[in-house]
Amino acid sequence: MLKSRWCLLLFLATSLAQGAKLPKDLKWETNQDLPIIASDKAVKGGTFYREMSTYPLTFRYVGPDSNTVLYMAILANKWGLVEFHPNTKKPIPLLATHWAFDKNGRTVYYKLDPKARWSDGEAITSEDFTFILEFYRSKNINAPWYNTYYTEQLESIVAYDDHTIAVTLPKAKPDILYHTGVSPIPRHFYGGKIASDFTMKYNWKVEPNSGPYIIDKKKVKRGKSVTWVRKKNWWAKDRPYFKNRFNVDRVVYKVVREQAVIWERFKQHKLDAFDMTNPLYWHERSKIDIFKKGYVHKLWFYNNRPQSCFGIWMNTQAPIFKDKKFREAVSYATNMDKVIKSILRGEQERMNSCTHGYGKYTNSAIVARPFDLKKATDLMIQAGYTEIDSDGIRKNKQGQRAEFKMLYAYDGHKDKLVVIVEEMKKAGINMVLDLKDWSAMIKQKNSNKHQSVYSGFGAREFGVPTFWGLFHGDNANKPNTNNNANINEPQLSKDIDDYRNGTNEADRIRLSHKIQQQIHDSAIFVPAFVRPWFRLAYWRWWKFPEVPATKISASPFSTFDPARGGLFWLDKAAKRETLKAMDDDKTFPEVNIVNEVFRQTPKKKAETKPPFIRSQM
Amino acid sequence: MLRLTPLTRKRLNRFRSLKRGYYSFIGFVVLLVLAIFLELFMSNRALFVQYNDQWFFPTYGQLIQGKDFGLDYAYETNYRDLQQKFQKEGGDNFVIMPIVPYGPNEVDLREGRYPPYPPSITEKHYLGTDTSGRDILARLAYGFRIAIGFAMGLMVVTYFFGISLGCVMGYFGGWFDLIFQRIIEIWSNIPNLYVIIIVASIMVPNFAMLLGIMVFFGWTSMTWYMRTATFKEKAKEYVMAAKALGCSPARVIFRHILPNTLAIIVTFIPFSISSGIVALSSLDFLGFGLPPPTPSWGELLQQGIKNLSEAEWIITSVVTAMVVVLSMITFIGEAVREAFDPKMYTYYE
Repeated sequence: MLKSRWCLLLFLATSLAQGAKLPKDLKWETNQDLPIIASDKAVKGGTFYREMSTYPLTFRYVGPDSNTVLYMAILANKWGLVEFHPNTKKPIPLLATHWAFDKNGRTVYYKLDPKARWSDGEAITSEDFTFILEFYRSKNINAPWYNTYYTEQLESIVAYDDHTIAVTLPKAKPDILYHTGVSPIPRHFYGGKIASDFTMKYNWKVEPNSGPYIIDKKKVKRGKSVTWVRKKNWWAKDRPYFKNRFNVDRVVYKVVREQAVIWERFKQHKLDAFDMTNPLYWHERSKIDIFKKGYVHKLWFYNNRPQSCFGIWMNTQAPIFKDKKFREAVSYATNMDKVIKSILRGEQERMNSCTHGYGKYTNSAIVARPFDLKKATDLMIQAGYTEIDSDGIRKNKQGQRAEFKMLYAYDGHKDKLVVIVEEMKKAGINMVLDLKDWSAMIKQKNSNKHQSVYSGFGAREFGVPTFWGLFHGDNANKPNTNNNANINEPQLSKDIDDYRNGTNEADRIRLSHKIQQQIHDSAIFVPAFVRPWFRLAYWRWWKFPEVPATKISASPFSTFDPARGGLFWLDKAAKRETLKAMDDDKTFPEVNIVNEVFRQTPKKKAETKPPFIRSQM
Repeated sequence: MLRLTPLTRKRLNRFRSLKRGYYSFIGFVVLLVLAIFLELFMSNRALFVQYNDQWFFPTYGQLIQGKDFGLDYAYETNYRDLQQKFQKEGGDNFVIMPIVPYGPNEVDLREGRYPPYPPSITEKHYLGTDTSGRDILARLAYGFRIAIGFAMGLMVVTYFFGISLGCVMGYFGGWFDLIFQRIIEIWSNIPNLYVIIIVASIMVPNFAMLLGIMVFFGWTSMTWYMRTATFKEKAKEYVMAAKALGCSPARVIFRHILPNTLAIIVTFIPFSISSGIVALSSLDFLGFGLPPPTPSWGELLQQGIKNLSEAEWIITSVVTAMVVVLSMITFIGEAVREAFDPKMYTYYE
């Protein structure tokens, strides 16, 4: 009682100090037009077992080592004010029921749901929001990125009463709801202050959250598994969009390090689903009884989500790549199609530009430079590489060979890269592969000492593409930026600025297309592949809605995500039936589901059937 | 020039009489010779091309562009295709390919089928291909050449440092010996595998760098043996005589003592080579070895394990090759040890 009085006083003091008064002419908005993604057939109960590659080093989500395997799961249960519908991109009210925009273009007012509760039963109030800046700006959390972000990207969070707040950005931005939709922090849990030993003290504490599940502290087995339990009286369970979702009672993350071991555990139904992106598993290893007898089903789902810019980035500051002609030659000499046809079995598609999957914002007129040896050779000659060395690599008059190093960080790329290397030699270019540990690669790239790098950067699931980090001159030739090519072209930078500051959608789309064209013309990036699908195997007692996932899902077994997770449920009768059938050696029909609701294939390719159908015939 | 002492002759005869080791030695030498001239047996370049009454020997030397043989491309000629083309045309032109017509890094992909491809005599992939479509036999052979080169290089350099320092320590003794003993003890406790892993994560080590790191941590083991041997030899009369004649310490050590400790060095050589091969392969297996696309046994072993159930030809080939080569070297080592053993009638098990 005393504590809450103090809080009230403190709250009054802060609001008085800021002279906060709610503007009168606010137009409160909400969005109840939310296409339902769940199925009314869903039933509650059961446990879902899934793997994690290693045990988390902490349960914190900020501070050292907090980017753990459970990071995404923790964040998904730490709800913010609003989310965005995966299929329509319209806002979904979460902790906020209504919002209103200020005329200044940088403030949004939110009304909080009075029913919202932390997992320990305390009400979620505006205090928990005003605590956000205090928390993230504190040096004690030991997280410089958060310190900077919450200092530079958010100006203030003001409380008007227990359930009304305003979030203000330093400058006007488009997608303002996205940028202001912050997630509260339970002030009472931290006693209203951030201790100097925060990182140690809260290493293994479970912060109260607002989402459908919470880590069960009693069932945490250090080094082995972490169990999440469903909240029985969850405050948002009756909202239409969340009905029939978050069905399983427990989600258990077990540590299984090796893919081969995951596969064995899955076959013994100790794990419930198995990712089958690897063609070896999908085509070869699944030719076993549990699939043929219908105990395990296969699902291939086409999604349509923004993809990260994956490909070869050429550093324009490296002497060899200063010449645009040479960069173009490298682009034409990169045989991605051969990789797709052979190693990837034709199951992935060529990425055309760095802006894949953003709908209207994607300039579909841009097509990646195809493998064309003639063009590549002509460009090489124009770039001065007129002579040929004894091993077929071209060199210029000064004797410099057309040879460069390419950084990459994942050994699994090797199969594809050796094909590209061999093909590139045909144009007289020698690409030397340089495999490094992820952090070593990032370090070298961030200090701009690389010649080229093979990696993916910058994907956003919501909203629109961003160009500033990757292509703006402000980030060129500086350490620790993502301008991998160190491109610094005044016109491009100006367009990016206009794009960032623009609020008119049509203008921004036009600028987005223009920017993409400039990026393409500068030939700094050789786009690789896109995989507009996911596929997996799961035991037949798991059920989904008719459309098993959403447009941007990466798995139907997304468990916690407020916008798209928790659609599946356990059919207990089917489980009993299946286990009995396995004992009696009875069979069910083999099931291979291909869902193409969200498939978006370029028209020219529409005639060729997907390889999966072909292999079925 | 070659003056064999009666003792050496005796040892050689004894070695020759140990059949297992002796035949292994011959086999190994044959493998070495084959490895040196590997391009003549396994290569994507033809051995000989006759084109419009001109003769070409593409195996060694400059790359020959496709257009030099009337083809429509400027990159390296695909001699297998050229051979088929000439056969179809039926003229005087012809191509002679090596027994295995594939290079170690050459990616051979087929329409509508996905690598790894199983062994096939018609496609001349006698041991099949790996997961990128590269010929396994070629990669095994070229990998052997690199591994054996690495192991020999490693041996020569580590022996150079180890033997020199060991002899000097044994010869001078005293404080010098004591201090270096302690230094070597500390040195040999640095876990070199970790150092390699750390270095490899910062940069991809090339052949010379990997050799350098291995030498850096590997030279110590030989010093102990040489130190003891020198210690023993030093007390003998011929050393005293050499000293009395006024020989410098360097001369005494390297001209008088060293030849008399040769037996020890020779017996260690085969085992050093086999451990060099194993070291390189295990580093490659763990992904800390030579950068791709260098052909290597370790990398093949890794692929073999990942594809155990679908592509058993990968693991079978590489394991067989390893077992054969390493056993051969071990047999040689055993025979050498026995032949050089001063106690003729004991057996080492």
